Amino acid sequence: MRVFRDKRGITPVLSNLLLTVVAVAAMSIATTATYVITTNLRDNMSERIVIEDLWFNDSTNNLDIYLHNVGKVALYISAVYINGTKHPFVPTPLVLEIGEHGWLDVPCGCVSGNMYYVDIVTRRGTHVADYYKAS
Amino acid sequence: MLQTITKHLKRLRQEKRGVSNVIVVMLSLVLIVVIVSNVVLWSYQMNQFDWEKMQEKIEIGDVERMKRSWWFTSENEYTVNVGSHLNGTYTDTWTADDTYETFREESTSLSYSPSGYTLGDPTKCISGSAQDLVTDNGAYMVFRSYSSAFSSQTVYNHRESTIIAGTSYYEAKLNGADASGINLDALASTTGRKLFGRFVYPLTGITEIPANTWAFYYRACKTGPLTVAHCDVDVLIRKSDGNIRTLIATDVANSVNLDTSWSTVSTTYSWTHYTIADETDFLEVDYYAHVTNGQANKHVYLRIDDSSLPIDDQTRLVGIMLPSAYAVEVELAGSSNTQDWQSLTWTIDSAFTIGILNVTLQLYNYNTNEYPTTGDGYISYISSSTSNTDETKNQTITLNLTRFRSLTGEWKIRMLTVKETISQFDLKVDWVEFGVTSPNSYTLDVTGEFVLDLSIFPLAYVRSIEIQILYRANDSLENWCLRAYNWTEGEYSYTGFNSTEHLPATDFTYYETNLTNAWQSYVQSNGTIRAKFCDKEPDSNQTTIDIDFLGVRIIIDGAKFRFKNKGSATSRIVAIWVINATTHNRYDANFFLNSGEKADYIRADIFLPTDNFIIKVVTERGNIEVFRSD
Repeated sequence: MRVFRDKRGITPVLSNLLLTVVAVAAMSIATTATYVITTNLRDNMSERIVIEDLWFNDSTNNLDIYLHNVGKVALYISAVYINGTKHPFVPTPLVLEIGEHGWLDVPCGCVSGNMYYVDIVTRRGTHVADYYKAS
Repeated sequence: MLQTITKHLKRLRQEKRGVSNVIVVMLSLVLIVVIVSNVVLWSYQMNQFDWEKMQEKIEIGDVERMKRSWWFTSENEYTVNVGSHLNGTYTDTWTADDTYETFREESTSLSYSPSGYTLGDPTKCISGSAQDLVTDNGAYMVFRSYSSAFSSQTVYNHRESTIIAGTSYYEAKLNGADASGINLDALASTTGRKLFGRFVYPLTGITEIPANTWAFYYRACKTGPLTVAHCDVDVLIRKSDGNIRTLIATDVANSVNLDTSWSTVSTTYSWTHYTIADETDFLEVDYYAHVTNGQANKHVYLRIDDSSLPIDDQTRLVGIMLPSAYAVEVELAGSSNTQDWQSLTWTIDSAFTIGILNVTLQLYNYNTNEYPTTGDGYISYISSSTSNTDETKNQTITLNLTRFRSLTGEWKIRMLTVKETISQFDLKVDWVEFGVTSPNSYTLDVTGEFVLDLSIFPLAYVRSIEIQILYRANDSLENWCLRAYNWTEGEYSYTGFNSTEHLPATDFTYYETNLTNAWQSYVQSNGTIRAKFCDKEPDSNQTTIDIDFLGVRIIIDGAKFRFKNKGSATSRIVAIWVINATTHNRYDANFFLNSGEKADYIRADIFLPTDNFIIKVVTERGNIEVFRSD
């Protein structure tokens, strides 16, 4: 009971303890932020994707794109633009782990002989784009 | 409390040395360094990756259809099954050049096996067939002997018992008493026949019991001076299921009246011939005390199996005709060619289930129309003392050989064995061969083993197989053929081949055969092919063969790519695209190419279109090289 009545003894202890908690919390937030920032930067830098084949398929009237993830991180295809217009595609979403490859089918109604600017965008913002002439 | 915290913060701000500030700054610096170093490190790694990708340079030199693999040659020396190897080695047959391997035909033995048999009655064939006589492999044709001679024998009554269909019977045996003996008791209080006991003798291996006069000896006595009794028997055949097959006689072999002291009395019985219906039957003799004047509490006794008694005093049956010898007789017949023969060797491998038998083997003489009893065509021996021992006997004949075959080439061998024994035995024939050599039978038979590389040419993409030989012969009038081992049939064959024979020349000529759609039967799952080169038929000329080349190759419908790595680092090709107007086909690949290296990459599973096409090669780093067929 004496301890509770002695206000000069408790206040410094509590204040020091509170300061320590605040300092640890601040450092944890800073460390987490560092980890998140560096991981995002690293993933962005590690994305590499190539278009192995691009086929204006007359039989299906689709644009069939064969993608190969040659980077060091899994990637997610988030959008396909043809001549600046976003087109739906299957499979949705297309997830390619490291080293994986697969077809991406885009219904496009492309006309033989025309030029198309095909832009494939990943979720992290990587673009793979080029001009292709429909055969 | 808040006042205290404020006070602490003020004091911290007023602290001249600023230790806390330094710590905060240092920690911030550490975080910044971690961020920057991580980013720089990954940036460096990805830059290196991009730089290597830029440095990579794969060039497709050529792409062509591949219809056939290269030749696969023998990896070991050829096996000469018939003929002789003169000079050279199997490596001389790897390429068509001036070096070759030489073989020569030799005279060979033609072997024939029996196709049927005839049993000397009443020998029985209990297992196997003529097919078991083809090879010496432990698969037997088994013949059971029959009783060929009989003699008068004595059967003694024993105290041991046997069970037939749940009922106990005393045993009758050929050996004398061998125990301390027992008394079989019959109560003589009333008149009539009183059973002492039933005795059985198994008829296994016996075909008949010939007629004879049997003498019964009874070792018996009675008690009570007023008792009048004698011994007699019933005789019958009992089946193994316990039922009576035949009741032969009742109340026969009556002895004289018994005395109060032990004595051996005898009498006779006239047994008529009996043919055994089933070898599992038993001869049963039931011994009775026949009381003609009874006396209360008095008995009649029959003593059996008392080894202390002299043989002549034991209870027994004398004069039964039982087998004293067994015999087996079988005639094996086959057919052969009717050519002129240089020599004839006939061979028999057999065993017996008992030891030491007089065995006679005879080869039929068609000139005299009988089996010889001496000289050519006659083998006689005493079999091994150890039962079931395989023994091979053969005889080679070189004179007047046509007497041992008919005009149509038939031959026959007789096996005859007789042994004086009371035990039935079996003849087990393992191998019978009728071998002849002919002056017109020069032949050559050479086999080799070839192993296909299935890692490059998987069986799933094999269209067919070709076998090719480059050879010459000093006799160009004899046909030669290539065969392969049919793994399904288990023999060499050319069934399904597009060419089954070839007439050689005295100069080197090619002979090639295609296994067509039948190739799968000739290739083992590990890619092994066994090929045989032999003459079509034996002939009278001794031919010498020079083989310059012998190989096997695969017919496929694949593709061959010629790559060159012009880059400074090793490249790995991970995919090949074959593209034409209607299809875009991707094939996974795993092909490494060192810097500066030029190499061919063969794929049996890649079919190239007949029209114009584009080939794309994708490397692991993501570079793509393109080749156009036009």
